[in-house]
Amino acid sequence: MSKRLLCWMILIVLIFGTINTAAADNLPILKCNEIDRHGRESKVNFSKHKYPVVDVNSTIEIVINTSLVRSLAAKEFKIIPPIDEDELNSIISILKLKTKMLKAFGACNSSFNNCDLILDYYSQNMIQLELLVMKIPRLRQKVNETMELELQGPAELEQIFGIVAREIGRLSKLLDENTEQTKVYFRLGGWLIDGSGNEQHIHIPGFDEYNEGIFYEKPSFILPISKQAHDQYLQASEAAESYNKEGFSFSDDRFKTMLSMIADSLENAWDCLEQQFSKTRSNQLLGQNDSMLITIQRSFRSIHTKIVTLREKISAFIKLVQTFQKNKNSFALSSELINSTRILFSELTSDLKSLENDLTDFNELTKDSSVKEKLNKINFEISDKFSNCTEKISRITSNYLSILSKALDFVYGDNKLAFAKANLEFTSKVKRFLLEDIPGSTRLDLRKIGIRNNSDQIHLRAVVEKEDQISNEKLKSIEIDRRVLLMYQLGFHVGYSVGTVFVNPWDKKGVTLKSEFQMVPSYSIFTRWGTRSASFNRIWKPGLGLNIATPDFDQNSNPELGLGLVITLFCDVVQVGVGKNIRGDNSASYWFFGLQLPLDLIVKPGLLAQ
Amino acid sequence: MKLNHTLIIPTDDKILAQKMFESLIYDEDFLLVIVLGDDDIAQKAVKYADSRARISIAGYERKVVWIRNREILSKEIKALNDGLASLPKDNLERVVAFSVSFSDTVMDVILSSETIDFLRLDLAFNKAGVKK
Repeated sequence: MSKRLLCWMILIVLIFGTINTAAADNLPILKCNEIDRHGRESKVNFSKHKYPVVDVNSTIEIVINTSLVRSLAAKEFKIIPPIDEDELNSIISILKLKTKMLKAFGACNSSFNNCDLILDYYSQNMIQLELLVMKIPRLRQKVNETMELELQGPAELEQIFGIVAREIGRLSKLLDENTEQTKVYFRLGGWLIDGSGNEQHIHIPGFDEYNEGIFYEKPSFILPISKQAHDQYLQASEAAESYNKEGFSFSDDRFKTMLSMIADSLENAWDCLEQQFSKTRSNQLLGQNDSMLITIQRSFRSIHTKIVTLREKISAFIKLVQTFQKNKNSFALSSELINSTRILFSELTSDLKSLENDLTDFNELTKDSSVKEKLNKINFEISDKFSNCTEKISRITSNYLSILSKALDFVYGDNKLAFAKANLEFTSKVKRFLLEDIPGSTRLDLRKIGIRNNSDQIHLRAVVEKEDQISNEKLKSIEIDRRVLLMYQLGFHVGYSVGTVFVNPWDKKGVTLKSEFQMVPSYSIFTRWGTRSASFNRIWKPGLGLNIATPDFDQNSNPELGLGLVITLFCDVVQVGVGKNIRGDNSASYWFFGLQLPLDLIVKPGLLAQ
Repeated sequence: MKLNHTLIIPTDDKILAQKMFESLIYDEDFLLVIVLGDDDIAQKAVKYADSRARISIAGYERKVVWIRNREILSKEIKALNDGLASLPKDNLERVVAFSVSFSDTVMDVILSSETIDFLRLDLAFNKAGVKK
C-alpha cells in the first residue's frame, strides 16, 4: 500500500473521529454490537437479517450516530438552517456514506488481495461522494478552493472527504444552534416483548429512569429436578394411567345438558315469537297499522333465521359429542371435538349477542306485557346458561390451545413480530436529550432486563420530538430508527421435556398389553445447538438426548424403567426414539413417539364436571 | 503551466501521435483522462486533471493525455469502445475530455457545457477506476 494512501487513512480517521473501519451496516442511526460472556465482540448485522439473533445472555452495545440524528431532526421538523433542503439531503447522504468510505479505505489495508477490487471499491464510493458534493454549490466551491491551494503549497495531498468533513462539521454546528433554539429532543426507548406479545419497558443505561429488571442468566443446563418438573411428571403419570384404562375421555353430562338447555331456550323463544307474530297478523286483519306489521315481519324473519342457525350448530355439536362417546380412544375425534368446541363457542358469543339485540328490538315492538316479560326471561336464561358453559369450555380448551399455539408458533411467528411493531409508547421515564447532548453509546446487559425466554424480542426505538416553546407541550414525535433483536440461547445447551410418550415394544414376549401402544409418562433431556438462524431455532429446534420412561409391559401395575435415545423436533412437539426396558422381566426393546398432548383432557370420566 | 503527469500528443507527426496514443490506451496500465482541444476550457481541464493525477490508488497511477488537435486522432478516438459512457462521435467538438479504463473503454465524458473544475476531473478519473 502506498505511503500516500496510508497518510490519507490516518487523516480521515482523525477527522472523522472514529476508528471503526470494520464493515459497517448501512443503517444510520442505531448500530449494535454484541458482546458475549467471554468479552468477544461482534457486529449485529441488520442488513443481512431483518431481525438478527443475539444470545439471550449477551450484552448489546448500542451506538448512536449523533450527527445524523441532528441532520435528520433538522430535516424532519423543517428547522430553517442556513442551507436549503436539497443541500441538507445531500449532507445527510454524505454522512450515511461516511462509514462506507471508511470501509473502502479499510479494505485497502487488509481485506482484499486483488488490487483491481480495491480500485473498483474505492472508485465506486468516491463517485457517490463526489456526485453528492457536486449538488451542494458551496461545498463544491470549498473543495475546489482547497484543491487550488494544493497547487501552490506542499506536495501533501488532501482528500476530498477531509475537506467535506470540515465543511459538514461547520454546517452541523450551525444546525445545532438552530435545533437548540427550536427545542428538538432525542429519545431512545427499549422494550421486551415475549412470545405472547406482552410488552414491558426495559432500562437502557443513560437513557431512561426505569429500574433494572431481575438479574437472570438463562442457564445452559436445565435438568428436570424442579418441583414444576415433578408436578408435570405426576400429571403425565395420571394421564397415562387414565388413557391406558379408558382411552381419551370427554364425557361431561352436565356440559351436554347445558348445551341442550340453550337449545331448549331457543325453542321457547321461537314458540313465543311465533305466537306473537300470529297475533299481530290477526290484528292486522282487524285493520291495525300496516307499516308496524311489516317491521314486525322483518324482525321476526331475522330472528327466525338466527334461531334456526343456532339450533343447527348446537345439534351438530351434540351429535359430535355423542359420536365421541362411542369412540373414546380416537385421538382424531378428540382433536376434532376440541377444535369444534373452540369454533362453536367463539361463534356462539357473537351469534347470541346478535340474537339478544334482535329479541330486545322485537320486544320494543310488542305491546303485550306478558310477551315482553317472557322474552326478557328467555334472553336472560340464554345468556346465563351460555356464560356458565363458556367458562367450562375455556378451562378445557385453554391448555390445548396454548400447546397448539406453541406448536404453531413457527407458522405465525412472523405475524407475531409484525404485530409486535405496534404500541411501543414512550413514558415520561424515558429521558429527552437536546441534540447536542445525545450520548454516543450505551451498553445493555440482557441479563439485567429480567426473565427472558427463547424467541423473546428486544425492540429499540429512536425518536426526535419537537416542543412548542410557548406551551411546552410536545407537538410532534417522529421515529427515526427502530431495531428488533431476537433472543435465543446460542451454542450448546441442555433442556428437558416432561410429558407422555406412546411406546411400542418390538419383542412381544412377556408383554401383555391390550393395545399396540402404551402411553407412559417420560422425562427427556435434550442437548441442542442454538444458531443465529431464527427460523432454525423457531421451527426445527432439533434436540438429541436421553429419555427415561416408565412403561408397564407386563401390566402388573408395577411400572418398569425404560431408558432410551430420543430426537425432538418442532419445539419439542414431536419426539421419536428407541429404548430398552431395563427393569422388566422381558427387557423388551421398544420404539416410541410423543406429541404434546392436552393433558387436561385425558382424565377419568366425570372429572370435567369439577 | 507546470504539468507533471500529462503527456502532450504531438500535433505535427500523425504516426508518432498514433503510436503514443495506442501505447497509452492499449499497452500501459494507467487510468487515463484525455483532454481534447487547445482552447481556454481545454487548458483549464488539463491543469485540473494534472493536479488530480497525482493520486494513485492500490498502486494504479493516473495520467493525462492532451490531444491539442482533435483532428489528428479523431479516427482512433471514435474507435474506442463504450464503457459507462459514450462519446458523441458525430460531434466531438462538444467533448472537452473523457476518461478511459484499463479495459480500454470510455467511462466518462466531460462536455463543454459542464462546469470544469478539480472535482469534475477527479470524478472522471474515479469513473475510469470502476471495474466494468
